[in-house]
Amino acid sequence: MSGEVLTLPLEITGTRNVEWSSFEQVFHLHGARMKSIAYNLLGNEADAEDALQEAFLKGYRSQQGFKKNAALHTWVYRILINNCLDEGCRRQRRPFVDAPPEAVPGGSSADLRFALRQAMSQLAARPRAVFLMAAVEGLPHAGIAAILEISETNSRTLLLEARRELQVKLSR
Amino acid sequence: MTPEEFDELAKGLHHEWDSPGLWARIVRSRWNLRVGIVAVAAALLLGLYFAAPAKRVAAPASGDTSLLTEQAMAEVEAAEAAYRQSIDRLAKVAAPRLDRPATPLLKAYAEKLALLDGAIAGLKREVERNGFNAHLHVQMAAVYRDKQRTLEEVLRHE
Repeated sequence: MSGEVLTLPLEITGTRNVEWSSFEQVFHLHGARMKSIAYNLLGNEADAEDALQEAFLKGYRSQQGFKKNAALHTWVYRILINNCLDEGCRRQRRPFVDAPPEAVPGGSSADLRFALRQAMSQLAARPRAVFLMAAVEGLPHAGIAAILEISETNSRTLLLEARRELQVKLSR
Repeated sequence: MTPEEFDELAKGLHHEWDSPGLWARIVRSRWNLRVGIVAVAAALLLGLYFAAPAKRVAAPASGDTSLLTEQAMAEVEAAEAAYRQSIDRLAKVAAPRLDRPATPLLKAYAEKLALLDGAIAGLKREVERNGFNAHLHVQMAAVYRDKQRTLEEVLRHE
């Protein structure tokens, strides 16, 4: 279901003014991981940085959508992932610019990584997002559940599905 | 491929690189966005003023919601006065930081405030000519609000 766009709910439950310095803290604590997620969804560093910039600006501008009891970084992650998946669908998954032109499963580790990225880009949006956050970035399921607004059990199930599908694709 | 090998491969997709200017770029784009909003508001204001000469009258016509009644005018003036008082208080506290900005961001705030002051002065001139025009007061309130927020950000800036 490669054309699916993951639309996460940006529910309005109240207002809370978040200072810009809080966004700066989120950037310093989570920026590297956020860039990596964006890179794996968009395919190059420049677009990943643009996506991060847009996510922080959008997060600051649309604070009315930020839940009072939520952690700020989950809000920014959610916006980032939504934007990247939307953008990825618009471009119909342009190949990675810094990847080898043809990957050979079973070949070098760079080839295998390329093959995995290609396989990952064919996953549906939700399993892809969960796989990226859990298996690649090492985020805990509790955090992923908060970002995607799903249950932890659902997050674990989506990861299992993604792993199974990717392993099948890689073994072909 | 074993599950362990697959896990290692997945972790290998994590990609890091240095982006030394990225946060500064985000801060700049945020500031540019706000300046852009003020500029668009000012352009809209001028467009409204020059495109609708028939509405430039001194007193409201009944049933025309774009013009204020006497009572609404008094309320708007009271609200604007409250804004001005709040802004004056904030400006006094923020003045030492803005007179000698210690960081590029503070310097940017000072420039933005100068721009907002210019917009306020222009709007005041228009209001003096046509005080019953509701659009002018809406724009004035937006610029006052922006100035108040900017001053608050200056005071919060470390």
